[in-house]
Amino acid sequence: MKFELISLSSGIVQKQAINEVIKCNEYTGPFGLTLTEAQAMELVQTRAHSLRSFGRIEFGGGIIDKMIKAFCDSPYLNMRDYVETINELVEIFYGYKNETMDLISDDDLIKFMKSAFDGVCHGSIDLLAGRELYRLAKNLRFGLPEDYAEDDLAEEWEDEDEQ
Amino acid sequence: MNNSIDRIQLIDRKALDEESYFLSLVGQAHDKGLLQPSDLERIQYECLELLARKTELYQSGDSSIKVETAQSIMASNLLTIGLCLKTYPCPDDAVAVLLDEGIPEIYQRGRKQIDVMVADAKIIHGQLTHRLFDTKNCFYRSTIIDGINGFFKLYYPDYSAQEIHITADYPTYNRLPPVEGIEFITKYLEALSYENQFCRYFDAKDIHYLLSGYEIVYQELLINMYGLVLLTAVGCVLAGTEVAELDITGAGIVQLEKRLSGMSHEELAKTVCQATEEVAELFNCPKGLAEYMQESASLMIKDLELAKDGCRLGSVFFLPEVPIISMP
Repeated sequence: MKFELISLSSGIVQKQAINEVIKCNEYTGPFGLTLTEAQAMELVQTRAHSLRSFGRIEFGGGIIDKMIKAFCDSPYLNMRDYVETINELVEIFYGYKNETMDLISDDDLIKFMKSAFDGVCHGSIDLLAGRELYRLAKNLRFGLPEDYAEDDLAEEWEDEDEQ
Repeated sequence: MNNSIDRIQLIDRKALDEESYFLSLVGQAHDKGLLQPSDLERIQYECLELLARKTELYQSGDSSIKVETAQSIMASNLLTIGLCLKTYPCPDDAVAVLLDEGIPEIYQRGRKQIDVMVADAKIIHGQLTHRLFDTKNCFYRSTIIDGINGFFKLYYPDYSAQEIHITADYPTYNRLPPVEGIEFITKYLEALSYENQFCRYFDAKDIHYLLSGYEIVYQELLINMYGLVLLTAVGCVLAGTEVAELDITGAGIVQLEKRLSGMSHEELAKTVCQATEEVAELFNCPKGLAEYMQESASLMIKDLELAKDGCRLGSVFFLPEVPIISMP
């Protein structure tokens, strides 16, 4: 007898996940953002695919609802690119859970992503993934503060020289 | 006349895999009809539920986990459950427990069993370290003292019951059963205790000279010392030389070659086992050690057979050598 870990593509699990995503519409509706059942299924499938490709497994409801609730008030999110953006954010999230070696919690990572997305990235997924999250992962792996930047080190040296 | 009624056991304990005891028990139980497909389904579901709870705790509430980590935690859970089920000498009784109790309860009992085994292992370890026979072999002391202490510090049975986190460098002479985690360490310590006890019957200097005869730099070699000492003691019995001095002598080796040369495998095995028994009687070895020595003897027979057939007993029996730099 083998103990195969639960397949996320199993019908019951998927249905439950889709329902949880649809429930988020109650929260995001006031921001003009809603998802159809088909779009919710797309998100759940993106999650399943991302988990498989990044070698991860999830037993609970997942982070889709947390991601939606965190990003729904972003000034850079609108109905036109809502689904595509959330899909990309979910994929990036699982990728960087690996890159950060699980040193950062789900909530803190989502908080960082939101802050960077709305802030220095100005709504750019490429900048979020390619620069901000890359730097975060590097800092965590090297035991540096999350917001450490090599530019800061150059500035410190300049200040010391001036003194 | 024996009127006792033997209980019919459907599952043969010896056929079960010691390393994956739980899974092999479930497999055998299903094959014998003791577990139905619905029972298997329930057990599987409860194991996965247990895994989900453990990973949630492990990740402090985070949702996802690496597959390798989940697999490791699952292996830990299965081993813990297996340890509880192993406490039932009759596997059929263990299956009855699987039917009557839920997996979480069996896991908890297995977890407590691990705590008991760790406590017992610490006692064995303490007794062993206080009575280590005197040798300069660097691996012997470092493995038994530092290595095993390291295991007790690093062992984390909640999530990695199957890991030992150390390399048990020093090899025992007798093969250990294929078990993991605290089970392995317990068996390892038991074997080391027997071997250490046997070596203590001899003068440390005599063992030092014998091992120097094997290899002058034996202190730096990863070799099992007990095996050489026992083999030499058995050889001394067969050659008629003084066992306590561990000096078989050149004449003794010649004598042995004559004695063993025409022997069949069965005759050689019987001779070696009898000689081992004599060594155990000579030192008044307790029952456990005597049994361990008999098991060692059965491992020696093959090497002895090859050596005697090739007239190379000198490659198996070594003469003591007093090194230039003596033991302090």
